[in-house]
Amino acid sequence: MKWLLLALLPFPASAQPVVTAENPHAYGWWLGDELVQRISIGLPPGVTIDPASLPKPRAVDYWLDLRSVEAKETDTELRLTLHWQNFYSALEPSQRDVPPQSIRLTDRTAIQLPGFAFVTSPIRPIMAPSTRDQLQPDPRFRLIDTTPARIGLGLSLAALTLSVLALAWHQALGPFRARAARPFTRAARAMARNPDRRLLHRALDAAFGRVLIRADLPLFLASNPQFHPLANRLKAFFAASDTTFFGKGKAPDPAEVVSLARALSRIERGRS
Amino acid sequence: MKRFALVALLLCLAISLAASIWFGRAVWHDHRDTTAIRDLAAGREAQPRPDADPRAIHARILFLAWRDRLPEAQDLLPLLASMRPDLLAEASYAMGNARMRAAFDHIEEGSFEDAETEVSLAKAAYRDALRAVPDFRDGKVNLDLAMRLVRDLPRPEADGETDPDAQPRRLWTDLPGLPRGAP
Repeated sequence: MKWLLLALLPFPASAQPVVTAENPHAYGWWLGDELVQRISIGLPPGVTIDPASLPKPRAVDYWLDLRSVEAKETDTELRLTLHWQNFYSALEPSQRDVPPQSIRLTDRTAIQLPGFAFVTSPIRPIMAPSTRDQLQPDPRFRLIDTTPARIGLGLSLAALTLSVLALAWHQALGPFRARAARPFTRAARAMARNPDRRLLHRALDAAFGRVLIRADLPLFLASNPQFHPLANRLKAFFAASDTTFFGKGKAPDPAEVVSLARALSRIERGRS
Repeated sequence: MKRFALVALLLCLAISLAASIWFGRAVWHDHRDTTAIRDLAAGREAQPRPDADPRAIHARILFLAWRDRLPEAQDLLPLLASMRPDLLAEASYAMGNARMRAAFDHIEEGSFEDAETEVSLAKAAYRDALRAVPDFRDGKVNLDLAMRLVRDLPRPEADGETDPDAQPRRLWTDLPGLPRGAP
């Protein structure tokens, strides 16, 4: 018989889960304070909490609210966090007792969540009059800080400008379009001050891509057909210029040379 | 590579354009809400936009509470509920103060029953404020003051020990004149 008794000893009849509670401080509470109670319950294997049996957030008493209940479950234990709120308006320091709550596990074991006691103290002196002038004033109006939105707008506008510029640069649009060469326009402007026919020659060289001599003029006109209407004047200019260069005659009429340069410039800029 | 740069630049452009529009809207809304708050603080009637910043709604409630237009203020409270507990606490507190001022008016007139009603409503408003922000000190002081005017008393129905859902329901009513299962 003795061995049977020994064998039964380590197995009590019903294993009541171990409940440990971390209660709020017992002293130093005021009206409206929130008291947090943490309870952990050791769970037998395979048993969980019946969620419907958790205490519901409610006014537990005229002076006590249960604000919220959080339950976290692991394999071996259940952690409950109960948020209480004290609404007892004490006239002198007074001990209040928070009642125990009961929950149920899935194996129908009923567990008592321990209650606790705390001392709540008056917030105003006992002799303080309860009159209109004792009321705390209304809250102040609150202005909106507009700085973050303004900074955000400034930064995003800067980013927008930068990306527009970068895109225009990348696509060679607008101000970034590489200027087409305008040799005749430059020459015509220079010759307005200094009617030197050599300036026009340099412009013709630039437009042709290499030095343009009289013999190459048909080639130039073939590759730049827009100058065709000026073919006769160009021929005359080259003839006169060559004659001068080889010392066989007078220089071409500067007025005609300038006017030819202007005509070339007008065609070059697409004005005629 | 050029194609990648183009896509990246287009993306930058789209993002910065969207950000500019979003921040522009925010600046415009801030401007309108701030104007409304300034008007209300200066005592001028102003109606915040329907989806205004919570601070504009808070200002409107303060404005209405100071002028004893409590039903209108009460309608605005749910707009604050989900957003800013601190603003909700202050708005509830302002309404409690309005109730307390009305209660003191009634006391001065000698109509104590009306005063008691107002103080009870004020207590409920202060409790709402403290539920939103438990550390709200002005709320605690004024709730204490209201509670000294009209003490909370234990409710005879609830014994405070058990969950109301767990108590057996009384299936038969106490109304007179109803049959109770017997002829």
